[in-house]
Amino acid sequence: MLRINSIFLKQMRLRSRSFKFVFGIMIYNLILLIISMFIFEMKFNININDNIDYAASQDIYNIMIVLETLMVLIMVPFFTAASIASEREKQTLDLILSTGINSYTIVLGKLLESLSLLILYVLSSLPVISIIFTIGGISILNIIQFIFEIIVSSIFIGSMGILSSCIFKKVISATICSYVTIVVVSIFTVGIVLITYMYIRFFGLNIQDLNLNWIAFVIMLNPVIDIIHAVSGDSFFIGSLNTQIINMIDSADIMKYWELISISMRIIISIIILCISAHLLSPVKNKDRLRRSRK
Amino acid sequence: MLRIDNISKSYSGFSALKDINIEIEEGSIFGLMGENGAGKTTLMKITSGLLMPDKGNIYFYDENIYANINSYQKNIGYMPDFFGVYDNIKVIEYMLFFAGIYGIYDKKADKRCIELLELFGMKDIMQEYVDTLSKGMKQKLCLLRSVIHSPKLLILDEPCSGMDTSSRIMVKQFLSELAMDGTSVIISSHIITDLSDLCTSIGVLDQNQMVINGSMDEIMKSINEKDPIYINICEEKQRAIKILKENRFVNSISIDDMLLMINFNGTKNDEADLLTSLIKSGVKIQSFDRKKGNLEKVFLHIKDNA
Ligand SMILES: Nc1ncnc2c1ncn2[C@@H]1O[C@H](COP(=O)(O)OP(=O)(O)OP(=O)(O)O)[C@@H](O)[C@H]1O
Ligand SMILES: [Mg+2]
Repeated sequence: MLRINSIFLKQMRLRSRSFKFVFGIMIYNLILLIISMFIFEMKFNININDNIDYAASQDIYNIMIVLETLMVLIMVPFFTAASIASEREKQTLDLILSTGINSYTIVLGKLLESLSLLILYVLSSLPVISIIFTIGGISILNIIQFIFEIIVSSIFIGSMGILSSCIFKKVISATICSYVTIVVVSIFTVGIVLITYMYIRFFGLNIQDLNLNWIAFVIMLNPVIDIIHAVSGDSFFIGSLNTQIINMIDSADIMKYWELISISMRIIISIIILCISAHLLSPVKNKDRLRRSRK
Repeated sequence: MLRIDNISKSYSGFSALKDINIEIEEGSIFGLMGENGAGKTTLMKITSGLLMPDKGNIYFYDENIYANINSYQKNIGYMPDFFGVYDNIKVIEYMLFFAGIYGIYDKKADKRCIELLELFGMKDIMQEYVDTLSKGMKQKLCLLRSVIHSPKLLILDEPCSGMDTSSRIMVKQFLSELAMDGTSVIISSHIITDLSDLCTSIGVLDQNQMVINGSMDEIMKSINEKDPIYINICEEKQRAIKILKENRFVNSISIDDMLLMINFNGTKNDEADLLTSLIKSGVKIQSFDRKKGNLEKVFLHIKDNA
């Protein structure tokens, strides 16, 4: 564990020294601020005597969630895809691999590094987000839930980024690959559900006769829907279509433990992907080791 | 301590190494020589566990390194033939970072890193950024980095290529001290004279094969044996030939007017005895000359044989 620290502390120090990083945080918060002020103006441009519309603050909160979700979708692949490929490009990967450090440690260190960057972004945006608190309607619990959900999604998306970082030698190809993967996974999972939905509609099938619980698992894997669903409830973003899709799932248990299932599923998949990454990273493979030592 | 056993490696059909065998003793310095593209870097990467050979094994204290590569790697220091630069990192941070990876922290790490930097007179620049250093400085830093954890085996790929003369001497001094303390060193170079005074044994790679491999003394002797002695005489040619024929170390004699060329496989002492007996018998000698063997000749021999 200490070894992870040393990999990841160094990167943090390097990062915080770089102009790009500070600039990035500034721009991000500026955008967030402008948008929230804009919405604030629109929603609350009212007389002192009017009643305050608490639903409006829920709306701002929802928009913030979409923004932060977009940030995870954009930043995490960017950080993670560069993590290992950039060491390869700078030729520092061999130095690290020759120290006898476990490749699982490297992969974990890189993931932690990207996550901590992301958390820095999220934390830095809290003051802006807390504007909403001045109106009320959002509980601290919402915020904690939101941050937790962001972390799980980042691990999920980050593991895909790390995997492409291990596969590709160039940062640019790794970055493109991880974005493409996320787009494909998002479209594919939504696509399957929509096609099923339309199929049922078209042939006028009775939902009750079919076992459509698998749809839940497909939806849970969608990086976009899941964050939004988890934090803001069913009615947001996909609107009534979302509700109808959710209606196809008739297992009460799945609905009840949605969060738990979704989180465990994504964590397990992340772990599998990270293990594959570590395996790809190590120049001397377990398989070879066994074959050789048996000789 | 280290036995490289029948290693072969090819890159998509192109054979970079073929059936390489090397044995390295504790505290010895093994010089790996070869021209560009001979396969030195490939062999070094395999030895440091960064590349998987297609065939063969490596044993470290009789244990197959592939049984637990990570624990083997903790015992070695590897310096590649390039310098990996992190942006925005200071010399001392660079050292401390690797100390951390090797599990050395805090005060102990500070002490060790500064101690090492002082060795090469680099303490003054420890607050400078690594990417602003000159090539030779980077190489020295890279070498220091590879010994932070006092490895039992040091693998150095062309460590001196960018260094000035005084740095080279400093590095050589440093390496022989390490070897004296029991560290084994594998060092590669394509500059032959670089290694001749440092190594205890050498191996020469020529197009993926090991053509010469052995201890420095043996190899020097074999070179010397192959070198003829040239004797220029003024008088008493027949007597000289008679004496040469009687000497048991002389294998063959060729005569070109007053120049006698003999193949001689004795030691330096035998050589001196031969000269004495010639002079004692009254042969007038103008010159008695044996070209000293050196490692450069090793290459010439290889080229001749090929
Ligand atoms: N990754 C690779 N893919 C394909 N061929 C390679 C690769 N690495 C090395 N080679 C080839 O293997 C041969 C040996 O290369 P290597 O780098 O080991 O030589 P070297 O002795 O270190 O040369 P130099 O003195 O230039 O450093 C070369 O012909 C090279 O072209
Ligand atoms: Mg090389």
